[in-house]
Amino acid sequence: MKKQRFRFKILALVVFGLFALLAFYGGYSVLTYGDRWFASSHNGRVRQQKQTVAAGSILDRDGTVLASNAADGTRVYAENPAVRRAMVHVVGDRDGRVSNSVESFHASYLYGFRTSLWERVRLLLSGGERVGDTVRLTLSADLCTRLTSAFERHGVRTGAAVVMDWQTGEILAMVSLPSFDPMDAEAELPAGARYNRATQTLLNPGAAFAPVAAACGPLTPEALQAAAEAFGYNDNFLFSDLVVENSVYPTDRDAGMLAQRAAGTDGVRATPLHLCMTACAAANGGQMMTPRLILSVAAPDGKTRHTPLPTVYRTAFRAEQMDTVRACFTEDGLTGIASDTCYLGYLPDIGRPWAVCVAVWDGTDARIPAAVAEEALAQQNINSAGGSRNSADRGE
Amino acid sequence: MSAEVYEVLALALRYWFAALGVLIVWRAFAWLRRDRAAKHRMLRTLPDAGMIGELVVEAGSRDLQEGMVLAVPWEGVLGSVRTCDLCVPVGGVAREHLRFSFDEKTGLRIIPCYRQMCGVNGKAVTWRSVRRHPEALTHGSVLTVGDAQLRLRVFLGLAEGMRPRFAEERPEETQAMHIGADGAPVRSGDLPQTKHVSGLDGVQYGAEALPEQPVRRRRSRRGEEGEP
Amino acid sequence: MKKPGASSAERRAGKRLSGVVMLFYASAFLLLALRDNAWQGYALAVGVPAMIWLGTNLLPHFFPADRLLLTLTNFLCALGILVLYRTQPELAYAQVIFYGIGIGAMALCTWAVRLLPFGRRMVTLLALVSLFLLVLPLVAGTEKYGAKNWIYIGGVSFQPSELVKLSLLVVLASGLAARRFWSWLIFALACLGLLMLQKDLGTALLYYAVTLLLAYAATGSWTLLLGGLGGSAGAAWLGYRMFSHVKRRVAVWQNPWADYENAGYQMVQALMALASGGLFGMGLGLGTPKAIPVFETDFIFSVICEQFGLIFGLCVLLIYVALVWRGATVAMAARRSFHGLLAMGATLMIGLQTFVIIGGVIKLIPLTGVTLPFISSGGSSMISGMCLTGLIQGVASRNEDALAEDADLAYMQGEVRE
Repeated sequence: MKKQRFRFKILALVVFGLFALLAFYGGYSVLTYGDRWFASSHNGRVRQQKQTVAAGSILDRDGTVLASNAADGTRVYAENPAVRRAMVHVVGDRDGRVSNSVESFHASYLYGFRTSLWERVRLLLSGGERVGDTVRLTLSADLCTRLTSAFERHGVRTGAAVVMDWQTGEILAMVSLPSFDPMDAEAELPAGARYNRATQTLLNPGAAFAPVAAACGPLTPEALQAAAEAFGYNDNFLFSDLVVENSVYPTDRDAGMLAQRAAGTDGVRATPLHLCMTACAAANGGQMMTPRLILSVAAPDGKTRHTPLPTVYRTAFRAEQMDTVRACFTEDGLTGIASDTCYLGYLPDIGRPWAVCVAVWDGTDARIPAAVAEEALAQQNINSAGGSRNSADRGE
Repeated sequence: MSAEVYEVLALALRYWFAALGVLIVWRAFAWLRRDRAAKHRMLRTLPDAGMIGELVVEAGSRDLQEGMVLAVPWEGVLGSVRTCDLCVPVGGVAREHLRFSFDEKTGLRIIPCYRQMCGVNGKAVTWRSVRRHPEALTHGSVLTVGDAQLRLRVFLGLAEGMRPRFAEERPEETQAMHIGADGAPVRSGDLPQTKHVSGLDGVQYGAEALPEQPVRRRRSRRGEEGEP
Repeated sequence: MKKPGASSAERRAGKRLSGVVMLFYASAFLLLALRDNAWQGYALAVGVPAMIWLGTNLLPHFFPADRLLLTLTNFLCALGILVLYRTQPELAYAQVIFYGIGIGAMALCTWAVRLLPFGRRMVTLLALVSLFLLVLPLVAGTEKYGAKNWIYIGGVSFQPSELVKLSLLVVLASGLAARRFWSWLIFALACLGLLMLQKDLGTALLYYAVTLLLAYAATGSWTLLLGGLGGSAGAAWLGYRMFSHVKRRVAVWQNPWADYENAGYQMVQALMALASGGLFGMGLGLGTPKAIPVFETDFIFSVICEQFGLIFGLCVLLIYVALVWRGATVAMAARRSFHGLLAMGATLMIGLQTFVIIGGVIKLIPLTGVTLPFISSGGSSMISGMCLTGLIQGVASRNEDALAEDADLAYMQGEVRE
């Protein structure tokens, strides 16, 4: 019986271990993925909430209204059709045709799910209408429109562009073509118009993979894979502000494919957003910032509910490798790299710390991505509504 | 009640329900802990709880000397390793030598393990023979395993239905069977006689004066609150 | 002399715990009653706490009961009634009736363990009746959710496999305690085979796991344990290769979003419910729990987390841990191997079933069709859970009786000596 009792104890501990696993995994899943699950367009709770709560507004960083409610309660988007078309893949539409847009991904803010109990009590006592929070994005509607116009001028039908602040990780512009007008519910969407190619479509970076290869040091399959993974390839992107498709670097360590992979082909694939993050790392001395889409969230009474702070996502390469990595970028207006399908570059100017990635799938002139980037960023000033970019404030 | 008022009330009571849930869990585990402590206190006052008697060593080894007493639980395994319920670290005893189980009507049933044998009051018992003729030890019976000879004393209250075997016989006349190291039987007359057996009550009994009645349990201490 | 365990300290602990439980249900049902302004809600706000009080304070006078086990079981049963009332009141009323029957069944099992000898003939008869019950659905049963494991008799449906769980434990405990190798092995294999034919893979998994673990507990054979684990891995691989529905379940487990419209719908709804609840829940009476298919049985844990939050869900898990702890303590205190194995088997059955279903709901493991003990809707599930508790109660009461006898004898002898 003594041995049997001892085994009973072991079995009980095994069961306790299983329950501990349940508790840990359940907690981890909900805390890590819960926001994404909640934001799914299939979540009926959001649809139910829409019946009683008026959605909050979405603004760009300059205060331009990108989405709001009309007097009759319908959802309306920016007044300017060009702005609407340029920003539809980020902002979203009322029919949910674009997945993982701000309208759906940040429904918890827009439809008042984050309202505190005291706010609810005050609202109940005052008898006011329930309105969701106002979400201010890091995007500049002006820059997005310029990028879209540049694409159209160069005859690009399928493309994407991302501009980021390499110091803070703020996404200043993100456009995708083909696009559509969210106010036109009847319009037939062109093929592929639902997808935000900047975050959902993978492409072979080609020459834009050069910073990774440069940071690798002596070129071996293991070293190149390690360098790629230091830049975020094969990582599970779980950014709090947006959904980004994971970039891929083959893990078979095939020495025969080393040259192709160093050239950013074979199985190497990344989204334009991730490529832009690569350029950010090169400009920022190896520090790759977490991409941010939300500048601030304000409650209906105007008080700030949430102001995300810049965070470092990962250190892509060591400080002593900076010169080697930056040498990949040519000094030609924008400091950039051009490949067959995309252009990757950054402005080293502290006053305009921007990184850009322009990708084109049309397969026409390889100079178009660079041209689009230069045209859009020329003479562009963006207000620093979030962090300070004045040299005086930074103590320089 | 309007939907808005209900919603606010339900939102407020979320924290109440979570707090009560935590309190329920806290009190449940506190109860478990308290019960465990109470059980340990109780068992300290009842050192013989779960035991049916004791085996007194009449012949043993350096590790199991004459006069030592082994408490016998209701059910268990006798063997030479410490994880056994009855540890008999004596030559000729296997790691798990036999299983035993107490029945209030028949006594301590003995079932030798595979390919093992023992002696009960001089009679050889094997793992094969026990299937046809179950063997049981009663109060005063002698169990022979390997080089060890053990006499069973059953606690008072448990052996009322059993007639003590040794009521009519004198211990020194017992033709106890001893199984030698080579497996051959050796008569008890060839063994050194047991001088004395120590009872748990500290009284020394001569082998010829082994109690004929079931032995009393050890004295129990009063509990701290004066209750059992 | 007072029986050990029925002390005033224990009664105080019982009142403290059942008091909080009663407060919880009184406030919960009252809140729901305010929402609908239905008299049934107010009746339950009074009736359920009263039922808990009766169940934890009065019942022990009628049969020997472990008060903590009783309180925890009552809490879980009432939680099931609460959640069902929130979603589908008719199911809640039926659940109350099943709870009443369950109490009777629990008392019956307790008395059976105390009084019946469970000799060889009785166990053999039990085994034969159980096999007959398992054959019945194959011959005259109804298919539900892909498994043919239900029987309808006179308008009442029940699942024989839920009841055969109990006889499985008795046969295993009896055979293992007496070292009758073939008896329990043949019975267990026969049950597994019949369950596979019924396609009730979840219950088969449970039977297999409990059999293996109890066999290990009784024999200590690592060969048996490792062989059994290896065999189960092999069977799982074979099942995956041979059965398309197993492949579907695994695919849904890996990525339910990929096939949202069909196989993944249920899982996705459950995950969204979990996420929507957050830490403190959406609020009792709010949210849309009925969006989850089969919310009343398999996914009731998702409903609990949606309504009450992750913290409360964790508390429910810990209540099951306390149940398992208590059951294991009772098993370790048993004087006889048979009783120890019986109590441990019942404890393992409750613990493993809980792990399997909650693990499936949170996507830790592929989903299987077992219910959450005490909470899920359904008479068979409720009654079998209560019976399992009754088995543990029976062994606990035997332990208490034995301890009381030891104390009586010791003091009697002490007085005689003096």
